[in-house]
Amino acid sequence: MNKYTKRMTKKTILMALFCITFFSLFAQNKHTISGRIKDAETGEDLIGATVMVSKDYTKGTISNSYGYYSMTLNQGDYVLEFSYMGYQTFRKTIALNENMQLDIELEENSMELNEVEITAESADRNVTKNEMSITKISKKDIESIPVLFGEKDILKVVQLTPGVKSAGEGNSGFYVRGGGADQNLILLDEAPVYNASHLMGFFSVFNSDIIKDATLYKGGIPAKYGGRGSSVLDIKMNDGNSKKLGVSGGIGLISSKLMIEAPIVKNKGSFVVSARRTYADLFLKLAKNKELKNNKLYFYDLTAKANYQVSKRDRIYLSAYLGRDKLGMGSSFGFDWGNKTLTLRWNHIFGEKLFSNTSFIYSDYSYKINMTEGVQKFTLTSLIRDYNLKQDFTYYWNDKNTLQFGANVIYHKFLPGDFKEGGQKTLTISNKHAIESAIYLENNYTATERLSINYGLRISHFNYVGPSTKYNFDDNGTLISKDTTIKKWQSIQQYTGFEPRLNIRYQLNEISSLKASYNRVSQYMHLLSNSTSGQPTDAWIPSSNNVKPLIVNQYAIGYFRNFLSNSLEFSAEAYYKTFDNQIDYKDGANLFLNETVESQLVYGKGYAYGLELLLKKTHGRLTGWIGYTYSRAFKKIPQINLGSSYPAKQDRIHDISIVAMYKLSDRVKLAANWVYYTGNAVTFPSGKYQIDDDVVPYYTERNGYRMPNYHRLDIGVTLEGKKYKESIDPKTGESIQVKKRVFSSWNFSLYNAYGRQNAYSITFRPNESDPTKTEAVQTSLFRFVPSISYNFKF
Amino acid sequence: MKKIQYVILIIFISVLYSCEKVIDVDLNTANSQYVIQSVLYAGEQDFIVNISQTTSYFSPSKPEVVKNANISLIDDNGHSYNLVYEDEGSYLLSSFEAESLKEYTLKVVVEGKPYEATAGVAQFVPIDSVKVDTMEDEFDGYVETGVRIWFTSYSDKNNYYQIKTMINNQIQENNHRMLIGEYDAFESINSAFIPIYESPENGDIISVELIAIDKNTFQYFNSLDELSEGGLGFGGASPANPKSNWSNGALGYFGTGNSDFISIVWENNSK
Repeated sequence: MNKYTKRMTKKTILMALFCITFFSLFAQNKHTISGRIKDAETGEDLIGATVMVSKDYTKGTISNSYGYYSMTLNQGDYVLEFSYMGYQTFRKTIALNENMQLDIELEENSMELNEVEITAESADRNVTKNEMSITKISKKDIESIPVLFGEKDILKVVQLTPGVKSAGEGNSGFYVRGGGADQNLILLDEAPVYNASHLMGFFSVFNSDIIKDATLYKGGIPAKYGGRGSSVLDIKMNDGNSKKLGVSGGIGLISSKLMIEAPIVKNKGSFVVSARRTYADLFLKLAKNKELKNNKLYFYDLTAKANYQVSKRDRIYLSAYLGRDKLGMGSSFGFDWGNKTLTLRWNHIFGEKLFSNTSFIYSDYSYKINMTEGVQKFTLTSLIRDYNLKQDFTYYWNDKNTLQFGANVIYHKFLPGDFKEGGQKTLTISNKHAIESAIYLENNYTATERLSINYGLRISHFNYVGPSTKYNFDDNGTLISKDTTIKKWQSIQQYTGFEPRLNIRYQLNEISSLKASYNRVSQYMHLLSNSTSGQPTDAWIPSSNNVKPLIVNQYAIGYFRNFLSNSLEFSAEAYYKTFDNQIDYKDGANLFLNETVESQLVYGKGYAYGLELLLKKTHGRLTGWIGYTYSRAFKKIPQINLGSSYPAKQDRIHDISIVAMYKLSDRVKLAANWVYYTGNAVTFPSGKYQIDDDVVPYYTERNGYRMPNYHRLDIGVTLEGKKYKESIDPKTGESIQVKKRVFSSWNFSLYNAYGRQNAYSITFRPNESDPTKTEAVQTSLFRFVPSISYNFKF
Repeated sequence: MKKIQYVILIIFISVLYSCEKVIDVDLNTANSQYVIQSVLYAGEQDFIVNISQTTSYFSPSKPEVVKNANISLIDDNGHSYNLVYEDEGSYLLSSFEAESLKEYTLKVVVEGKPYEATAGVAQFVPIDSVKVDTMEDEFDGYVETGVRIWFTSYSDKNNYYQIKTMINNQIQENNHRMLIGEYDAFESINSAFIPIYESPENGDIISVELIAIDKNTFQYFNSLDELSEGGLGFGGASPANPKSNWSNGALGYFGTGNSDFISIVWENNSK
């Protein structure tokens, strides 16, 4: 532990002590009720369930991400209402004469079985909650929305919401509000996932079966998150059924999956294991080309989680993810890549008001290229690895204030490339190391019935340390000097970031509110990628003496209004963002296996602004949304485009998405989505010339052109087996409906239903038969892609 | 190594639905720019400079040549030699002897605007031997036939070469500008395999020219090759003009070379 982290830890403890002693003074004549809220059938914690005092809706709270709630009230008798969308509301009369614990299990609403909005928004949450620029993705959306090859994918659903843009056709990469693809912090049970895509970005690494809850923060990012400039996608995994054994699975066109969950000790602990394997390479066997037939191309992922309630106050969780893509060509060439994450967590409840979570998180992304035969035998390995220790507290001070505070320290290790030939290391790109730490404090303050303010501060610190080689470059990227004597833990460069966060909500009336937010985030890790889709070989680099941290400021305002007794939600949000120390690449930059890769970078400023409109229908036979985004994103870098500002590649002006899900009957559901967006900003030639016999394109405007506009319709239908069977009640002799043990469903979908030839790329080249002529050639992928899958659960 | 990154994508796409079509794209026409191209070879040789102009991308006509330029070559003793206009945008300095490891500056003035570039001539690298050879492609196992040459590098790294091959005095179409030099684990620094794609007959004469070039020339032609290979295809890095050594925004390159030659009679018994 270095001086800095020591000092920080000390600070945190002092702060915690201060909070506890100071706040307990206010606790006289008041008592706290606390506990956990769970699903009665599976024992899964319910995240975001509401607890309200009946007939006094100003007093209430919601359960946290572990299902824990705590509420402090004046001494007295109350009727409490526990509710969660898709579940039966539970009422309980209590006499609050002392602090009490009350664990609650909620029953699913049987009429709407299997259509649970796991997001559990209370009906008017859109308007009343003091958070804006967030998107909750429900499991129902993931399961119903038709996608490419029928492979359910949370990242594809995220892309259909305003402010989020797909990185390309069928791609799981995304851009949020003008930020680059590496500005999204993607967390799986708190572990950052460095490369969230499989198979060149066509699929995400997240198996939708194990996702319990997913929230995307596009702005107003809470102080507990940091490290990426533009968004946080916080994905939480299922805990596993703690009541009985459950098995579910699916067989699809390109992949199959299986999930098993069961109690470890009934009602005290459970585990879940889920596996998925694609067999896309079976299609290769159909290829005419003999060389292609011998190739391999597939991925798998394994996800496991276990939890155990050690005591009434302590619970531990262990989550793990392992995913790997494998590519093989012929018998001798192999290339594989993937992520590994592990999260160990310990929940402890101090008293009734202080909830603590301690996490140890491991995350790594690596790739390996292998050539096992012939004269050119070699192995290339590359990885990035994190060890992260994190402490979070939530202090449920009183009915007006809820404090969250904590600290974390991450040790990053970068191994950009090790090249071995015949067992001998022939090329090594210097390893890099860094310590990223942060402390934060935020308070959710309900000032009046109408006004609530969430304010916080995150202080982050980044220390780029040895052992490494320190390079010094001049402004043109020419190497001036290098220092190879940097020892272990010796600091090469340090940065500190002050990151204020603010969210304000002002309730205009019962159905509408105004919200505003500001956040500042420092990003110390940068992904070097010169392709749109993201390559497995793209490398992360730390901020250093040459690369400064990216600093993003975002200002946003929004108007929220619900219609038709909360069944229709409307929101309008506008934002303005600035980016300092934005990275771009020199013309013709070489980013792959380059020891002095920092010399290939140029730095400047960026800005982005936009307007997002969303109309969402949450109840009834027809559900879905219409989203429209107007947005612009620019960069201004002295060495590019003669120093004038130019559109970033994610600058897409108009973006429309329409998502509709229609319940035809209890067993038949239809879904469709339509997307339209302006083409990406690209660089096309504005002339040509000849060198020797080659025709060479002449470029004058960086990102000065646009790809053609994109649009696409996908449709799908889900047919479910019967959920109930007729039976005779042995006691009364009456005919009753009994839940069937096995549920099954079929899903059919058609991607790009009207077969539009959307441009995946446009290339310029001389005509093959007449090289004196030049032409533009458009490549399109994926037209009329049908898919079918079968899912079961028992 | 870049190949690997594209191969994955290509495999994936080739098994899926992908289709190509020629489309109309509305492109702007940039103000026309001068393109000055020349290579100064070591030894006593004719030195030629070509000057033309850029045209709009879809223009069917040949680029317009420049006839009224004043061109002079200056050696590192400050001696200046003027070039004279021949035809088709070509300017000539006959029988000029350029020396290894010397720097030369080329000055061009067109319509009052000066352009200048400087380049150093690389050290001579002799070819030691040559033989007819085969090589298995590292990715698809395809065996290529061609010739391999051996040469003696004068240092462990930073050697840059361009290789030209001719079959019976005809330039090989598909391999007209082979560049080697940047650290590449697949290549030995003292030998190079040159694939021959045009199926020569036994008894044909294969001649190889190994041209030692400087690093900047290498980088220029390397980025030029990436551009003409359609490197912008998969939405990759923003394409950019290759970095020229001309001042004042002229395109093209003033390069140098130092050549050695060797010939071999084609004998391929595997046929």
